[in-house]
Amino acid sequence: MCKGETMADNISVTCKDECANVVLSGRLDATSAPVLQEELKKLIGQKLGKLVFFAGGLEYISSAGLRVIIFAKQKIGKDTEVLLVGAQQSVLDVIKMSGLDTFLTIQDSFNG
Amino acid sequence: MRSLTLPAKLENLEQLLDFVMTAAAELDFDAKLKNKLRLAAEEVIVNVISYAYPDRDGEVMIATEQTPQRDGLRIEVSDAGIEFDPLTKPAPDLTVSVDERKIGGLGIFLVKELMDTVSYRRENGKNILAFTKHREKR
Repeated sequence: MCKGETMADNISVTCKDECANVVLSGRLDATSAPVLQEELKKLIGQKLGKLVFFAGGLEYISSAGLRVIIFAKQKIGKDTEVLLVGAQQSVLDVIKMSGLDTFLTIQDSFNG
Repeated sequence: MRSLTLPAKLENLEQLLDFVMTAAAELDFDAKLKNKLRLAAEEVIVNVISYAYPDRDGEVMIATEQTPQRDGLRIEVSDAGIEFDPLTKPAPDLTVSVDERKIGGLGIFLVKELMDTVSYRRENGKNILAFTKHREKR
């Protein structure tokens, strides 16, 4: 059972059943990525079917943000599907350039 | 060439990046190019903050100028820390499965991908990483 709820400056994590929804906005950079990493650590060990990053409001991602997404996929569970939803083109370009599209399910929209 | 020198601390990252964004705005870079420049500058500055001074405090300097042909921006990031050429690091293997992905090397890889030129030199006890971005792809 996934539980917990967090709000940081530009990150919110909510859980429902076995789905964790992470809403990202603004910049996911070296300053904000550690905050996200701490929040995602709380999900380790919980049974999660899906981890959904809602990225519609995300303007920018740097390697610090990419590393947190890799971390999430590696640590939260092999059986957890990680989705990236609604990312704008510039963010998507960086994601693909870095090869993260090989393990992320990329979608325009998601209805949980 | 204009420059800004600050202690190599994460709390100064925003101010250093603002400096780059101001230079980019003056040259009429569009939002997409500004995004790429910000990303490259962040990666290089964060590398300095994280690794240049393992056992003492130090400074990072960022300098900006127009390219000689006045068609783009040239940025230099320098530090007086341990000698290190990030360009010699092998590129991350993007083909391995996620479980084997190493959590490093991505930053400088992105700089090389996004910028038109990237170079390193060691001069007067300083590491200097320079990169350029032209307004139009050449």
